Amino acid sequence: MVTVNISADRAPCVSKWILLLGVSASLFACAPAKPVYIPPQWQTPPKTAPAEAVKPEVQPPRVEQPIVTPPPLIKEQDLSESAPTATTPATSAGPTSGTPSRATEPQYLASMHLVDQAKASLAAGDPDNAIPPLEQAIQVDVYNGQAFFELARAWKMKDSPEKALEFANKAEMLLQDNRADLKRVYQLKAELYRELDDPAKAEYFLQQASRL
Amino acid sequence: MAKSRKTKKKKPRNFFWWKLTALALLVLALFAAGFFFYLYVEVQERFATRKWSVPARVFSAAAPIYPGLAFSLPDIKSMLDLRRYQEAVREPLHAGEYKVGQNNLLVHLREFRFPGRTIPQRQVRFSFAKDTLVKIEGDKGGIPFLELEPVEIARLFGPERESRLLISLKQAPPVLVNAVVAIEDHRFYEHPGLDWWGIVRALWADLLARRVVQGGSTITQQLVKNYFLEPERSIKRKLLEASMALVIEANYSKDEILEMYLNEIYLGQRGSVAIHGMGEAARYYFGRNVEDLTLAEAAALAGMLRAPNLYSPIKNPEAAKERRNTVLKRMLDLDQISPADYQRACAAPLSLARGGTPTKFAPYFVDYVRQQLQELYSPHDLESAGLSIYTTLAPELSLAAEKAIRDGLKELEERYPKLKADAADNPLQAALIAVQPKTGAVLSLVGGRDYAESSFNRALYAQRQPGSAIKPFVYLRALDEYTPTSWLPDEPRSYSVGGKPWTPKNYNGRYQGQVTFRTALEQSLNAATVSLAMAVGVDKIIPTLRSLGVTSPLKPYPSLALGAFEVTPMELTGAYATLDNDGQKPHLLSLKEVVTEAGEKQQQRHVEMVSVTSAAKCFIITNILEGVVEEGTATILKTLGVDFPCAGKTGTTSDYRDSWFVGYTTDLLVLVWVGFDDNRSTHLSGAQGAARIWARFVNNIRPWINAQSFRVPPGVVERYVCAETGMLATQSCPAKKLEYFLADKVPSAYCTAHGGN
Repeated sequence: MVTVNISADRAPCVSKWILLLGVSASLFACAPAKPVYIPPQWQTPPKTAPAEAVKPEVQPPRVEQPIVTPPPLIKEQDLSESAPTATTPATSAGPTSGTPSRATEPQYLASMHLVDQAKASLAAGDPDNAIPPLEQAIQVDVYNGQAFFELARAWKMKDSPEKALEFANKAEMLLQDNRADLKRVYQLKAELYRELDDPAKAEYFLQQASRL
Repeated sequence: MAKSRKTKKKKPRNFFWWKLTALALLVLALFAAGFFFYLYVEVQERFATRKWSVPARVFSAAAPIYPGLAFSLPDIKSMLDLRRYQEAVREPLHAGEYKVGQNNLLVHLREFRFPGRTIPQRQVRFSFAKDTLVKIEGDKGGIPFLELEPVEIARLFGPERESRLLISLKQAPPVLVNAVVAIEDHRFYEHPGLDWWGIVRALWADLLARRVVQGGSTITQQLVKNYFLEPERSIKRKLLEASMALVIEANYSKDEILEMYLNEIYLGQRGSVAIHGMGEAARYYFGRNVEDLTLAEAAALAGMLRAPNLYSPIKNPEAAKERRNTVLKRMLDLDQISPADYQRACAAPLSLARGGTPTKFAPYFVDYVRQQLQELYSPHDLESAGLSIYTTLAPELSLAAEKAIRDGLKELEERYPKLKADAADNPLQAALIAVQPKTGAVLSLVGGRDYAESSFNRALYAQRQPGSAIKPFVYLRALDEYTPTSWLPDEPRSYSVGGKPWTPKNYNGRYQGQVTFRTALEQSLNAATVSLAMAVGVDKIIPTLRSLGVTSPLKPYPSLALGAFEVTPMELTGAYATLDNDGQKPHLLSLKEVVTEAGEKQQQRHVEMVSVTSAAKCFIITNILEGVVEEGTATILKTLGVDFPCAGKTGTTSDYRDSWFVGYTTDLLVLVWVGFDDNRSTHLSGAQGAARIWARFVNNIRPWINAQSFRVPPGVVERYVCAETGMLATQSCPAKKLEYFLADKVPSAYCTAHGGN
């Protein structure tokens, strides 16, 4: 990290004060209203370019942009809570039912067709027949959080909590914009940590679930 | 008195001969009984256990197809051609046929049975608009998703090299059964194994010719001949054959015998491989499952039974057609078909399936799969137990990869003639691995330029230095202490390596003084990278490399940061797959399932991954590697037509011995290596060599690439920074850019060069 030292030249008394006032005024003008902006969730860049300058973009633009202060979507104190995993999600601004654009993406639709097939097998208590279509579902749409969630459930049914947890972690990353699904992921993770004899983490995820 | 003495003398002699005759008959009967018992045991033994040696079949993955895919009509058509579909000459379509329309393709998909599920046989219509598949329609309306059946990519033959696809009698359509019985043994269901009338007829013909000229063989006798006996035409062989036929008829039903016959009978050659059985013949000659055979096709196959090579529809189509029509006439005479069916079938052309998949399809990949199988099964089981092996191979990508390597190396040799001049018996080589990082599926694996010249699988076994291609993982580890805007010294500095001084040099011999973390990786600056590695601690980078799957010996020398150790291309692929999979290292899968002939799953492999680092760190490195393509050492890709979001890293080793490029999108990762086997210099950087082949490959498979941006995961913060100072940008900064930071490493200081505090 680079350390910045500002040193003002010594000047006669009045000039010094004028200079100080001037510097303070320009600093005040430059400083953003809020120092920290954190996007809380996965974001997809909009299909039409360019994005609004206030919105965070996946692809950094290659042209100069004016500094703008994006409104924070979460409070700073949410981030300061310790979390056992690096992928601790921040709470989203409000309940959403999934990113609208995803629901029309062809790979998502095809992938969900497979997920629905698998869900029927899981409902019938047959994880062995659920896993192949779910694996195909994530092959078709690598960002389908529901497919990863159902895979986690399938492996839990097969008494493989470690495997289930890996898929649950992925689901957690991908379902940030869907509170209902995210809650189910937290609940599942809590159960998995309980099975793995980690009550602290189990309790943590139960609390995360209850906050949604 | 004299008369009675004579009578008494005759009696003992007659009685003796009668006794002798009776004894001889008894011995003969015992011998016959013993002989027939021996035959019975022989038949029971052979038929009760495995009847045939059926080689293992290796399949690619099924191809997922859904509306919205960027597949044009020619793309789908070539996928169908690869699966030996034929263009229909008339409607209605039969299974395995398609018809090209205006912006649409009508296809009658074949049934394919997987363990636990089946791709159903059905007719579908694919509709296209502007090189995109917009709709798939079946009988019941729109279809959101379907699979094209896998391609059979290999069979693992035994020494006898027989190719066979076992069928049950239920699968054989009535037209086939009738055709076979009509032409070969029309009294099959009436005689007890021997057709006495047929034998008499044949014997008479033999006597007239004074040699064996005609068979009177029933289907049962033919089965015996093919299954048990050596080919020979003699009276002795005939007698043996007849005896065994009687034994078989006594122990098995007519249907069982016919089923065995339909699976045993020889029906031609495919190169050095013999085709046995109607199941295999139906697929080979007509590209159909046996249950889908038409009357004309069934008659053609039945006609081949007498002389498969003479009546082969491939080698002698005219003779095959004539023979087919003879069979049809016979069926008509026996009232098995109507005159209308007869006319129609006689007029039908012989539509043969397209030439099969290349005899060596994806040979390096098949070798890799075979190796894994050999750890699980004996060679005998692999060659004869009729296993079905399902893999992850994407056949279209595999063909594209082989072509990219072949054409790419040729292009390099034309561009740099010295490469060819030096290469008399040791040509420039390449390897290419394509995986789906989120599942670990190995979609393509090519281990060399030409399998026929060298079957050494460089993708798996070539131990080569990765050079700069290892740098992303050094920077990955350094993210614990640094950010993309951290400053690094890029200046000549000496280090001690094994007691000797060593000074890392940049590619162009120039040093930039101070560079950002991002720039150092984008521009692949050696001096800055080594400086970073020393600051982080080389011994701390080693566990990172180990967690990513590098197994080679690693010494904690500064040169480790520049890839001065050996890895295989597969190891490096696994490491990069972790970056592309949000910090979860996927298990690279090639073998998915092994299923027995009876449909029992013996082996099943699933998607597996293990978390080794965070998604946030992987995203930041990926974002910098996108910069490598945009502004760094791989900008050549843009000039080669790569126009979708991708991240990548070039790799060049000392003296240009290895040229690497690893590039990935959200759902495809491709690694290419180029070099000489004897480790001499290629004079090619990663951009000049491997990256060109990479671009050629991805351009060839463009419809398969889902061009989407990498998503920002939780734990990553975006900030605008000054392009000059790297500090948080102020309004006075003349150039600003968006930068990403780990949530716990967000800088707080504003640009001091342009008015910040």
